[in-house]
Order: sequence, then structure tokens, then C-alpha cells
Amino acid sequence: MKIVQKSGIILIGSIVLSACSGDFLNLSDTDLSISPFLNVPLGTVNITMANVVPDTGLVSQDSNRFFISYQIDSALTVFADSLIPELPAIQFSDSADLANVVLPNFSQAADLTLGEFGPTANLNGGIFIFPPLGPVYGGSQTLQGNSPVCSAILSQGTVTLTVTNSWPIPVQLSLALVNNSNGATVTNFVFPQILPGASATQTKSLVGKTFSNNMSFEIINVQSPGSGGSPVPYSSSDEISFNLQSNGIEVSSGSVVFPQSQLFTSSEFYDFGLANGIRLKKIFVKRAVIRYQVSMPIDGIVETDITIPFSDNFGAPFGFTINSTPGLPSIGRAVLQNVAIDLSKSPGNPYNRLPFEIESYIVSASNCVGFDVNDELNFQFELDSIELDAVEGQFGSYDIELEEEINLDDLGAGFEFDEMIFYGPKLSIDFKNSIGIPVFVDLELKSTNSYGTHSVSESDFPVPFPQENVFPLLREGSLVVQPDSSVPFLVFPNQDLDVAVTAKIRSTGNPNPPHFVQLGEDLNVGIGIIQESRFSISNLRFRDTVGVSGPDSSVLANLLEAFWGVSYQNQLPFDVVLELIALDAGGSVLFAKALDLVGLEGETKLELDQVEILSLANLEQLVWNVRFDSPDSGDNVLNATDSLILNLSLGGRYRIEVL
Amino acid sequence: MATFTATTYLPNRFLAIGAVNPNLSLNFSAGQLLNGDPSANIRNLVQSRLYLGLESEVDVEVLSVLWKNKKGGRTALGLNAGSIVQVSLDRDFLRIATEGILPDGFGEEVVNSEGISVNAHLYSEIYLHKVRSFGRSNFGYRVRLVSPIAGAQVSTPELELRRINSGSVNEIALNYEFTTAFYGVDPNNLNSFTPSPSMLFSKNTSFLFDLGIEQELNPKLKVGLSVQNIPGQIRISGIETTSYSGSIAYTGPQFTLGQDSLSSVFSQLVQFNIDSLLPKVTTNVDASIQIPFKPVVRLYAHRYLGEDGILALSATIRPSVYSNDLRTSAYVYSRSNKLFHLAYGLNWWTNNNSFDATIAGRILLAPYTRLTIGMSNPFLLPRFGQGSIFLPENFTGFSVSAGISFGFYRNESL
Repeated sequence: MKIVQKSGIILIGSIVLSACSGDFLNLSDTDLSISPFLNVPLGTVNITMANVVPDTGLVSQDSNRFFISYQIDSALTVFADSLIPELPAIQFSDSADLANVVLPNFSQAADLTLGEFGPTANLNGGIFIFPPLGPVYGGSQTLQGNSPVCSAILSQGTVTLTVTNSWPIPVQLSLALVNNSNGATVTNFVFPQILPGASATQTKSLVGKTFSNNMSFEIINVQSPGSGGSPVPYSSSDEISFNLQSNGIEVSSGSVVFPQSQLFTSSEFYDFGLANGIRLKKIFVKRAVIRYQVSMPIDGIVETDITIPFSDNFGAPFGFTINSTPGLPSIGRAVLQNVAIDLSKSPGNPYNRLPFEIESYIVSASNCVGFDVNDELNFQFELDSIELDAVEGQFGSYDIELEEEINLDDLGAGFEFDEMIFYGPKLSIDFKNSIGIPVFVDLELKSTNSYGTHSVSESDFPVPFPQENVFPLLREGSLVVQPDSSVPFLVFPNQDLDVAVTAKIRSTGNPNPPHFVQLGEDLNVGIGIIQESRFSISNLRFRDTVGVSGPDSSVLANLLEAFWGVSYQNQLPFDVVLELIALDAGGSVLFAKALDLVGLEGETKLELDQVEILSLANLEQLVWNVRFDSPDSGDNVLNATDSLILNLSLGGRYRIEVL
Repeated sequence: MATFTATTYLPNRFLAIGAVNPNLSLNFSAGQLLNGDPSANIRNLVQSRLYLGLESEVDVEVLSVLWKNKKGGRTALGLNAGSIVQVSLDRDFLRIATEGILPDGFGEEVVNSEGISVNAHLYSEIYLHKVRSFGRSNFGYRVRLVSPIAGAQVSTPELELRRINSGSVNEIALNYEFTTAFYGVDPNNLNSFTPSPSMLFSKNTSFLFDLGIEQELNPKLKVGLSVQNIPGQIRISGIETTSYSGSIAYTGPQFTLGQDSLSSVFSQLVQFNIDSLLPKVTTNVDASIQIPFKPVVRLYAHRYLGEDGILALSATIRPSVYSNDLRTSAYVYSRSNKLFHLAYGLNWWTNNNSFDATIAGRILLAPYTRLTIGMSNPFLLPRFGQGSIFLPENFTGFSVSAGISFGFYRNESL
């Protein structure tokens, strides 16, 4: 029992001592606060190259390949008009003496009645025994009837006189055809005895004779043996008729009523006088002018038809008509527009020759027109101001030298960088050709940059060309030039690129189908720089400023510490430095931080101290500056799928009052 | 007798009235929490604890009657009222609250927490207690008719916080479900609660059982085993529960530069739709909950220290949702005279390695009338003054009991 008592005393004592050794805590003074770390995701930013860099042509993607393509369209152009041979103005003329005028046959007539004849003038008719008569002068009988000749010297032709005797007695006649205009005898006719009721015909040449529209027969004498003692019935109106018929009269000069007739005709080929080797088969005239001067000595109306055969002017050969003014030279011009002319119809030389036809006519009239067979018809033409749309044929062999200096200071993508080196770029020389001529290209590219001058060349690259002049004409080809991969061929900025192209035109051998050039259908040479392999970038920058509003100051007061965390997976062949600059409303820097994203993956924190945290209350703008750097080796390969994934998080220790 | 179900250390007849036994226990001391930086203290505390908890039980023995039968057994009838208050905060929950999650910024951390558990229940109990002796063995049992009167429960069926910040994943995810339940009282109008005799029985009245067995190994040594609160809980059905649940996985806005402008990135970064955090509220008007009456398993030995004293050693296990509380106790019961009995001892809370001392006394106030008073750590009780509460640094809780009983204490066996 004593043990129990002692142990009880000891226990109670120890309880008292332990109780008294402690302090008492005032619950009302207790400040229970916690300050846990809050760490929340801010989001994930995926920077995939295929998305970041828009497919603008400068940077593009093909499958998984990512490459920079710097395209210089139409860096050089061989213009079609430079290949279309220049057609010189050509003059050509023709002339001819006026030909004899062939007049239509015509007839005139006259008669002599017994009543008009002197020895029988007193007979009144009936039955009479005619005694022998004459020879006695029979008088003058004017020819009646139309004649196309007013006055002219005949160079060809005859006149036939038919005498019909209706007297009751035989007669012998001696006649003279007299031109009353000048009183000259044109020709004489002597007819031996013509029995009653019979006719006699004689033909006389009129060559060299002067003819007029006032002709008459002078009946030099009339002689008859009479009726032989027998009475014969008669009438005073019994007549001897004279019918004068012209045959094939041609007039060399004078004044005649011209019938409708061709004065002049000509069909020729006129050479354009092009250089050797150029053989144009067909030309398409956009516009040209034909100037003419036509001299017509005829005091009458003459029409001259001009035709370019083998041409196509909206479905018909091109032509025009010159109406000559009587007595004056005809001067004028005609315009060809959109006319296709075949120059290959000249026998023996089926190229370069312009077909040309002239045909002049005298327009029919009722008045006499004077002329002289020795007068000259004169035609003068000039084809000039020739503008061609297209040509077909053979253009010869010659070279065109083109050179262009291109300064590539900027990629034009909005990037800022210190230096970007492209190792082993591919330079694509792209040809877009609509010229139907074989062209072979010699190319020399010379790069000049801060690492020196580097050249690369290619020769005799055949440029694709359309074989036939059938739309579409465009043919495309590409010549890829790859400089030595060990040299920094392209370095931005301050990259000069000299491009020298010799376009060798080779149009020979009488091609069939012919070669052709169409105005406006040029040969464009584009230059594309394709970087799909190795490069080196120094300080490639992207910068942006965004407006933000800072947290409430009451929040900041309880924010004990904070950090901005970034965990990343970086497939980009760059090291990335992300700079963050916080600005207040006045643009003053509150603080600046930098995050280095080095290697394929990692995590890094941007920690804010208390001063910086409190400064967030004045935050107005955040400047983001992303900088990319790659090693200098140039072994980086950039794919379209390469990405940088940034997991952003915001962490901080926040004070929370519990009690 | 409640503690040692099969014990026969009882008077022949016994009537107890108005015995009150409130107790409060913490699994930490006040000083461990409040001295210095409480946030750091919590972090330190949970390193050695699965939870920080508070537990309070108030047993009010309204009336009990005990008598000894002819064969030496005991029979008791009683009417009790009691309350249970249990609050526990899971260590991971506390660690998140104090340390945060992923404080280094990167990596992966997944926290599955039991969260918060709160139980506050008021109940009534009618019991029948019998102890039988079979030779040198005693067998006891208690049948308890327990009727929940009013209470509240907050539980955390699910609380998972996951934070991953690696190069490929940047996510914070929270899956949670908190459930609240109230019965017998309107939480918005506590004054409407009015006790009534009808609360002794209700449709939710359930049975609890206590069992015990005791063996006398020799005249000076007894060993015993008791199990209380079987099956460890009672069920309340037909009440309304409200569940607040959510499943949030937030990775932040996903931006693809080139498709989203940088300006839009930042404009969206500063925006956060709070609606996504709002819980889904589910109300179940015909739900059931379990009131935890923690089973208590106790193994003990009584060593007789002569005629008037006993040294009692016991190991007590109380399972909880977090772990099993293990308490080892040693106390001496001294019956030096008929007027005054004294018991004193030490409890060692193995889980958090804390000690508390207990002392109790029985005083014969008048013939057949005894006053029993007991308490643990009597000098570590809170003090009140200057409008405030003062807690000893070593305060880990208290236990006080007081009651009057009437009985025939003559020939009271020990």
C-alpha cells in the first residue's frame, strides 16, 4: 500500500510540475495564417514553325520540309518584242505606158437615091429606059450613126464598107471616106459594076488614120451602062446604101468614148530586206500604213484596186481602192490593222516577201476622153510604220545578254536579326516561257556578302518552249543551281546577288512548224532561293508589346513571392532567349527578366522579388522579346513540324489569414 | 463498468444520477500549433501525423440502476444522452494548405487527400448491461438502444489535386466531393431545436453492443478483453444530404502561335472563367449516413496491489478513417479507506507520442451516497479571463467526469 501512496504522490507531483512549466497561450492573440505556394498553369503556347511563319512565299513548306524561299519574279525578262524582227519600211513602185484603147465595133450608114443623083434627079418614077450614065460626081453623103471616136488616130483596126445597089441599073462607084473634122480622106473605095439588087463589100485598114465622129462619103463618081435599051421600072427613091462597119479599132491617142476596160494589172512580191537567217513565213500586222501615189494621165475616171493576197483581214484578203482624180495624181494612205499576211507564197523564196497586187480600170463614161498612148501610168507605194503582233518563221541565231544586280538586305518577313547564313541553298532559276523559239541559257550567279564573293554558273540550259502557236503557250522549266555547300553563299543582310544570263536564240533550219513570237508572250526568268537544309542564325528577333493590367494592390500585398515558370520542349534548332520587360504607364521599365531556353527540354523560372511584385501594380505594358540563336556550324535542319512548346505557369506564395 | 464490460468491480446495488463526462482530445498540443509560425507548425505536425484532429465526447448518464444477482453477476439498466464531435483534417489537405502544391514550380505532384471530416451528433441511449461469472471467468455484454437526435456531418469522399508541369504537360486538376448532412435540426435555425421524450425512439434507433470477457489467471492477476460499440456505427436514413462536387482540369489556354495572335494569347491568359470552379451541387432528400461510434478494443490486466489497490494496465485501440489510435494506459486504483477512493494514472498516445495524466476520486458524501470526480491533466485545463481563452502550451485536451451514485457499497469487491 505504501508503494501505491508513494507512486501517487510522485505522479501528482510530476503532473503539477509539468503543468507549471508551460506558458499559457492567448487564443485571441493568435495569428494563424498560412502561405501556401500556388502554382497554376497559365497556358501552353505552341510555336510550330509551320504556323508561326505564314506561307507567304518567302517561307513555305512542302510536306515536312520547311524552307525559306525567296522568290524574285521576273528578275530578267526577254521581251517578245525584242525578238520580233523589225520590218523596215519598204517602198515599191510600178508604171506602164497607157495601152491602146480598144474600141467596140460600131457601124455607120449613108445612101444615095435616084432622086438625089444629078442625071436622074428629074425622073419621077415609072418605066424608063436608062441610058448609060456618067461617070459623074455623086455628091457627099454624111455617115449617120454613133461612133465612140470623137477624134483619134487609129493604131489598129479596119473598116468594111458594104454597098448595096437598089437602083434598076448596074453601077460602078468610086468613094472616099472623108473625116470632115479635118477634111482629110481616110480611105477610098472603088467598086466595079454592081448589078441591080446586088451588094459589094470592101475592107480597108484604118491604121494610122485619123477618125472622128464627123465622117462622110465623098462619092467621087458614079458610072452606069444604063438599062441596055430596055425599059425598066424604077422609083426615085431607089437607093444605093452604104454601110460602114468598124472592126477591131484600137486607138493610140485622141479622144474617144472609153469603154470599161482594164488599164493596168500587176502582181508582185516585194522583199522586206531582212538580215540573213531571218525568214519570216507569216506576220501578224498589228498596224501598218500603206502610202501611195498614183499618177493617171487620162482625163477620165480610173479606179485602182490594191490587194495583198494571202492575207487575212477578218476573213478576206486585205485590199483597198484608189479612185484617181482626172488630171491629178492620187495621193493617199491606207491602214492595215490586225492583218495576217502569208509571206511564203513567193516562188523560189518562200519567205520575207510581201505579196502585192495592182489592178487599174477605166470607169465607163458617155463623153470622149482624150489620151495618148505614150502617157505613163505610175504607181508608187510605201509600207511603213509597221507594228507586228506576231511572226512565224525562222529567226536566226543570236545572243541576248541580260544582267541584274539584286540587293537582298531584307527577307521581307518582318524579322529582325543580326545575321542569317544560308549554307548550301538551292537557287532555282525558273523559266516561264511563251516564246516559240529555242532558247538556251548560260547563267552565272555571283554572290557578294561579308564572307566574300562566290560564283556558280551553268550553261546551255534548254528553256522549254511551245512548239506550236496554240494557246496556252506558257511552258515552264527550272534550273536548280546549288553552290558549294561549304561556303556561306547567302548571308543576310547586305547580300548582293549578280545574275548574268545569256539567252542564246537558236532559230535555224527552216523549222516546221515554224518558230514564232507573239507580242506580250515573253520569256521571264525568275530566281528562287530555296533554303531547306542548313543555316545559321544570329540574334533573330521577334518583338511585340501588349497592353496588360496589373493585379490589384491588395492582392500584391499578400503575395510574398512569385515566379513565372516555363517548362519547354524545344525541337527548334535554336536556342531561345525570352526577354520580358514590364513597363508602367509612362513607358518606364519596372523590371526586365530573361529566360534562357537551352537544349531540347528544360524548365526555368523567372522569379520576382518583393519590390518587383509590388511594382506589378503599375504594370501597363509587357514587352516580349524573343531571340533565336543557332550554333555557327550550319548543321541545323528546320522542319515545318518543328515546334517549341512552352508550358507557362504562375507560381507564388500567397498569405491567407485563417484566424 | 462501461470501460471494462466484463468487470465485477461493482457494488451490489447501485443507482447513478446525472453523471457527466465531457472530454476533449487533440492529437497535438496547443503549443505545437500556436507557438511561432502556425503555418510552419502545421507543416511540422503533419510530418508525424496522418491528420490533425479534434474529438470531443460528452456522456451524460441520466440514470442508471445496477444490482447484483444471486450468482454474483451484475445487471444494469440505464438512460444516457451523449454527443460526439469529431473534426479531422487530413495531413495532405493541411500540407496543401500550408505548403501549396509543386512549390518548386516543376514536376508532378498528385495528392489524394481525405480532406475534412466533421461529425457532430447528439443521441440518446437506453441500455441493458449484464455480467455473468463462470468460475474464474466473467462474461459481460451490453445492449444499447441508440437514437440519434440531431447532428451534422461533413465528409470528403474525394479530394484529389494533381499538378503536373513538365515539358509536355502543364495541368492542374482537382477532383473533389464534399458532402454535408444535417438531421434533427435546421442548420439555418438552430433555435428551433427542442428536445422531447419522443427523441428516445425514432425510426433511426439502432442497437450497439459491448462485449467483454475477463479471466482470473491467479488470485492477484486478471486479464480481460472488451470490445465496445459494435458494429462501430449506426445508420441514419431518410435525411437530406447535399453534395458539392467538381472535376476541374485546367491547363490554361492553349495557343498556337501563328493561328492565335500574341495579343490574343495574353488577353486570354488574364481571363479565367471562375464558373468552371463552381461545384456541382447535388441534393439527395432520401439519403443515409453513418454515425461513427468508433469500436474500441481494449486489452487489459489487473494486478492486485494488496487488498486496497489495483494496478491496471491497458492497451486500447480505436480505429479511425486515418489510422488506429493506440493508447496505452497505466493507473492505480487505491481504496485506502471507505470514505475516499483515489485513482491516478498515465495515458500514452502512441500515435503522436503524447502523455496525459488522469486522476479521479470517489468520496462518500453520506451513507450510500458517493460523489465521483475525475479529470485528466487537471493543471492543463484552459483558463478563462480578460475576455479570452488561455490554453496551456501542452494542452492536448481534457476529460472531466462528475456524478452522484447511490448504492450499497459495503462488501464492494475489488
